[in-house]
Amino acid sequence: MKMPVYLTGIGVASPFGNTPAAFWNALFSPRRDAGETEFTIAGKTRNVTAYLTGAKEYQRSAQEYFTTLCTRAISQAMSEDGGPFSPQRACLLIGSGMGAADALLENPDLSLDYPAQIVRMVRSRLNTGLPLQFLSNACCAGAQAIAYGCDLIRSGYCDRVVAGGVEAFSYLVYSGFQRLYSLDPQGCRPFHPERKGIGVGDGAAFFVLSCDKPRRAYGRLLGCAVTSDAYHTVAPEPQGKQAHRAVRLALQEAGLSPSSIDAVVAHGTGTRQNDQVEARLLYELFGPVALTAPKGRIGHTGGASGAFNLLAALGILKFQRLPDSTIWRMEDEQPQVSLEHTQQEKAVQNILMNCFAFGGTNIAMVCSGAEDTEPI
Amino acid sequence: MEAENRMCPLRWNYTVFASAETIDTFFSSDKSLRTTDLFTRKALLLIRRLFQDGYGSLDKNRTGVVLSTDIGPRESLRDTAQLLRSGDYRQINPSFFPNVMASTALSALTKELGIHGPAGSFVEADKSGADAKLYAAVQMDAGRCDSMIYIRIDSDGWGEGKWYIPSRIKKMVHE
Repeated sequence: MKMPVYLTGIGVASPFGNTPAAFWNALFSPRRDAGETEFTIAGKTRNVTAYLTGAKEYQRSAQEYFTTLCTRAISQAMSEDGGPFSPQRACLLIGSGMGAADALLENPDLSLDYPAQIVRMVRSRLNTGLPLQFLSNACCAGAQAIAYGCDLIRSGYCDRVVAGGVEAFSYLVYSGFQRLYSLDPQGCRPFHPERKGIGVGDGAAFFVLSCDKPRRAYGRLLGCAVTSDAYHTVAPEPQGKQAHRAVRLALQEAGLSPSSIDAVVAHGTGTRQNDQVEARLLYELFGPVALTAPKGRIGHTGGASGAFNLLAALGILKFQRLPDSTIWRMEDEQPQVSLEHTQQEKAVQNILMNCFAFGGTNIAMVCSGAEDTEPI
Repeated sequence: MEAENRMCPLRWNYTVFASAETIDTFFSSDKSLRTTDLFTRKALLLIRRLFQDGYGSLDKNRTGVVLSTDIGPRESLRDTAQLLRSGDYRQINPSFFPNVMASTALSALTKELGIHGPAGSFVEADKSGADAKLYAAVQMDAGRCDSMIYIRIDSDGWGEGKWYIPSRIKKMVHE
């Protein structure tokens, strides 16, 4: 079992509010549908159904919108933690699937290295003097940043890491999902028998990870693991072998058995293939297990989704209850999965979070309450 | 954070990329790659050159890959944006759409050798590859893998591939 990493600061930018409390309030409230918004993009009116943090900001400038989401959440997390953040012993890890891709919709003549320009802009805006690293790996970018932050701390490279994920709405990506017929007109319905795809969301969630046992903490990260399917550009490997291996490795690192897991925050995208693979994996490892799938409430936030999964998990630990879920029985050919019933008050100590990306990277993380510190 | 002194390369390859037409010709006979874009093809070219003499007994569960770039799949993003400016989502070719994500090139690298270890991709403004190399070193230090393949593609038309193992292992082998 590796040493735990403490979570001592959180920063959020989301359609549900810009504080952890506001986000958790929305998580435990009845589900609300994504709104329809009209944008003018490249001179044409386009209608979008999504959970958006700042539609007006996006319309003004996609690049600025991305930068603002990112810097706001990071600054908030750092402010709550209080530091110190020494440039020699701390760093920033930003995970994002698409960065500010829509900057190319606004300006087709951006230079070849415009992704790097976005990184420079964020670094300059934050002005923390800390090393900043930018991870780009589709849906798991934020989770990968957090897992990597744990590794940096445990390997002795850093004492403090600010890590998380950000995904600004991208009409370019939204259109791609439309073209793939991957958007469910009824919104994201993870594990539902009639699920038809994702719902789109955006936002940013960042965490301060610390090696020293603090006076107060939101929770602890006990174990993480990263594996690769090496199977397909977008589809998950149907047997879920590497996803399964990621979960087992994360449990091993946390020093826990499957029976010690009290709840699972699923990747749960609402797509037929992902939910099949994930349901089978969970059933084989855990049998019936308390399960929640935040994308059913907040949409798929792309590279930030793993970070929002951690935020959801910390809310579950804080309030010792699960968000409202409806019992669904999957009627695919896979084993059936029952979701835990409405807002059950259940003692929760250890939570598994899954994140499975386009391209086949699988990330599993285990967190628990910070029982040896004062809870925030 | 000096990472390179914690690792040593078993193999390396440096490439100045030829024109897009030459790269396309290199892959023209491989039908499975017909929906890949230039960025992914450059990544594949680098890993194929790195392992053109084979890779011996690579433990695929214990090998990872990390990609560093300052451009990412910029051409695919630009092309998709152009389609949307003049039309709507129906103009997008669904087979090519995944190329807008850096994860597509990463996936191609893992598939090429059947690698199941950690895979990560970094946007690095200074073209040094330092962040990606640090990731490689840390993944090995953390015990997540025993070797890491590092691939870098930059906007100057330069590419680099290295296969790293921890320095302490190389030391043990030689002692």
